[in-house]
Amino acid sequence: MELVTEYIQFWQERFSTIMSYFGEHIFISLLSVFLGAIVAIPLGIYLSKTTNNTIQTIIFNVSNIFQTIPTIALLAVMIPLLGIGYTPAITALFLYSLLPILRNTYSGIKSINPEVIESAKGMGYSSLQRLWKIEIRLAFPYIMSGVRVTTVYIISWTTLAAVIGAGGLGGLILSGLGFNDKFYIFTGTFLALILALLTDLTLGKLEKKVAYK
Amino acid sequence: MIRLEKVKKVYDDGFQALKDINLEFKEGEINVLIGPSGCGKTTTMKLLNRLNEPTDGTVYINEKDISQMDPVELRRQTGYVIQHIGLFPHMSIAENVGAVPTLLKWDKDKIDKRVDELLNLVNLDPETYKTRFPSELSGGQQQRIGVIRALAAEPPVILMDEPFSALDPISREQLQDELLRLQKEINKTFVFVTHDIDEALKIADQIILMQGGEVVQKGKPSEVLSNPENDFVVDFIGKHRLEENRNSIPNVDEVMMEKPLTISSSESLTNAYESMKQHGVNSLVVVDRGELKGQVSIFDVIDVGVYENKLVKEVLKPFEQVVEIGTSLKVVLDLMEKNNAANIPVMNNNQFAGMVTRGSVVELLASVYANSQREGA
Amino acid sequence: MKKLLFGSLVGMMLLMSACGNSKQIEIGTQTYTDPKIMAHIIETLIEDRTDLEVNITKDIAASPQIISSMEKGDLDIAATLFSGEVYNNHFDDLEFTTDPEETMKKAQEGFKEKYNFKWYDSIGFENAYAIAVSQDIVEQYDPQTISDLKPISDKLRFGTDTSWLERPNDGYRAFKKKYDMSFKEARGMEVRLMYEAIENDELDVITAYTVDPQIRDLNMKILEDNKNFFPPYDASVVATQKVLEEHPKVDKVLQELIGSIDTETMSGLIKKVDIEGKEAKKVAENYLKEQGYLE
Repeated sequence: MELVTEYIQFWQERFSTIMSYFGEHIFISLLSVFLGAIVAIPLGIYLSKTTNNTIQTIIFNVSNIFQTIPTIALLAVMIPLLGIGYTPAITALFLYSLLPILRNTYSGIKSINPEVIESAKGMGYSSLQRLWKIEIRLAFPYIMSGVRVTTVYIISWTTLAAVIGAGGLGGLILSGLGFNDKFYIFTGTFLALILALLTDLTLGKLEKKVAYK
Repeated sequence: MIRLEKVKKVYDDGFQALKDINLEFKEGEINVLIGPSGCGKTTTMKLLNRLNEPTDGTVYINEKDISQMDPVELRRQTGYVIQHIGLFPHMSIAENVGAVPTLLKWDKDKIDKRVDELLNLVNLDPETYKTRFPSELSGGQQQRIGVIRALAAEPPVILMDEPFSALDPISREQLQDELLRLQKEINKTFVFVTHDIDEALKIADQIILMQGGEVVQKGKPSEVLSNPENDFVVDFIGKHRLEENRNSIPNVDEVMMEKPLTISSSESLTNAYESMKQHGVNSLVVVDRGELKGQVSIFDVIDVGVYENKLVKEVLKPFEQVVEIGTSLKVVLDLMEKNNAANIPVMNNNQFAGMVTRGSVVELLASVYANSQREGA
Repeated sequence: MKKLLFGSLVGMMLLMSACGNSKQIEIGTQTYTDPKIMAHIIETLIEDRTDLEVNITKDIAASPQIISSMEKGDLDIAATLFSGEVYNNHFDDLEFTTDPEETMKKAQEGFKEKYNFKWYDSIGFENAYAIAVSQDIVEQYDPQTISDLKPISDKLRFGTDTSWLERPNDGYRAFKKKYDMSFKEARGMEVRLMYEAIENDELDVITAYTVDPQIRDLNMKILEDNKNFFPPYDASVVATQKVLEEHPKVDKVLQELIGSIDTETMSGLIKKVDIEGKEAKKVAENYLKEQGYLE
């Protein structure tokens, strides 16, 4: 009981700080995924269409490499180019978000029954109409699940923003670890969890609204 | 009318898919392309909506070279049904059926009406089915939708690529029957690819049998059955079918002369006589604008006097017997025997369609015997 | 970065799998280099002086995790803890002071009483927070004390570690009050990236740790804490009473280390690891040989 009172008091005292960390976290994670989606979805569609295997291999390998570079190393490389704060943090997270969205988009388009494509072509859909009215609609569940999964893990990875001066809930968690304050750790983790759940729920609803049965 | 002229198709790997195709698809008929796999039948069909482009040669539709047309436009004017249906799983039945009209920007009410009409055409209740999705329909129902989707924008030509081959035998039979019924109602030109000879024999007006990128034989099913071009055709059709065909008694359509000499009843006897003399026949069928009046024979004319100023109608004799198209030859032969008639006219809905004569019967027999001799050899 | 986030968890799992053999001495270190070097020094000495085996678990996210692992019995020795640790929420109602001796006394008494740890007297070096400025700032303004930054503080880009901004007694909030100044922007970050940022002119002022070899490498200057704001962080070895009772020889070894390494020496050892890329174990062994601890 005493713990609860103390925790409430913690929130009252630190409310505006917590909210500013939380706001940074939302901004960084959602913007990263948004940028990732804007780049990776068209790129994934392009890769599914191109017959140039070299380009496919290169792009998949490059986006794969981004996934495997240790964060600190990646960020250290970025400082001379992008400085510190939001820019390198968002750039790094953006790079991390590419591969899963790319993969899902690619396999979403690839998973479409070729008969459906043949049919659409034979019926007189132009390639743009086919892409927009048939292929993207059919690949949508795949693309969305790529975006959802990516969003959830980028929200958790956004804690790394705190190591390059961009703040976010990682700031609360690392502070808590640093000076042994469980309220900080709990609050940071809890808010990241809530954010991930809410975003997943919202994207899920959006997906249901747009996708076919 | 669709015409292929000197069409060749060579793939990048050097495979010669079509060697030198010269072909006409008859308007308002079901043209069936058939042959073993790899024979070029699907390749040929896909030339017609430019899913395939010929390496050489020209495809004309109504005398227009289709390589000069916009492929997307061309495809919208050409119905297309494929083997695995290819319905759009994310669209309702109504959206699927209305897909091409939507592409053609018909207005909504018109599309709606058309969709209802088409669903009724294949006995699917619009209120029940319009809002459903393809996955909620049986295979047979899905392919019905596939077929009416191809008909939606009233294309003059409909291409069907083995449309029923994935269905169970009962649904397949039903759809074949429905296609035949539909064809009678809408009178479109169908180009239908299949590898199933029974299907081809059942639905085709014209069968085009292909092998190794070439047309081996084309004609009416009965012609192909009774007069296979070579051993390949015999093997492909199967001896048991040819046997069956020989043992089965054909109907009059296959025996009759389609265009016997006719004369109008208001012509003079002199003209009748001249016509008979010129063509070396001893009688003429008297037909007034398709209506059968009777016949006039050389003996009647001579009896009356060739140069008397009389008209055909004054000497013609009405036929004692007529038969409807589709009647078995057995019935006709019985009638000829009983009445000692040299010929019996064949009627189609009260219109004169042709004539079974002793000569045409002999011709049929000859073709069957010639055929059996080769087979026996 | 998962390691950063869940480092404590991972660390604990490693510990759990490592423990069990009472003949093996378990040593834990934080993520930074001075405790790692100390761990190898202790390891080498124990293995030289006794027949005990030593296992080191490195990169435990923060000191509080080491302390709780020792409390649970998963670790026997913390290679290095700093006297200022005593202010990290381990004790309620502890009076805050920046007096080094007082702070050391609080740590030794507090941890003995509450956890039954032996907090040795200082090894001799200190790794405290200090305000350091970049070479540019030195050349431009030549500040001597932290207070000298006050007139220009609203122009300075400030970087610090990932917890200092929120630290209760000796963090940024208290600093602003004590020195009556705040920086243009204040960013928390990984210490290695902080120096990277200084090098790339992205930061002007940082909270350095006094042993960081980069301070000298980048020609930075540590400013005098003229208002005695920062608590002392004198380095000590800490061990559980249990391990010392079971193995009295270990106590003898650890006693040897008291007052043995000063800040400058440690900074030199850290440089060998962090900047010259040598292995911490080798550096520790060489040091001990040079100093005559080993034959």
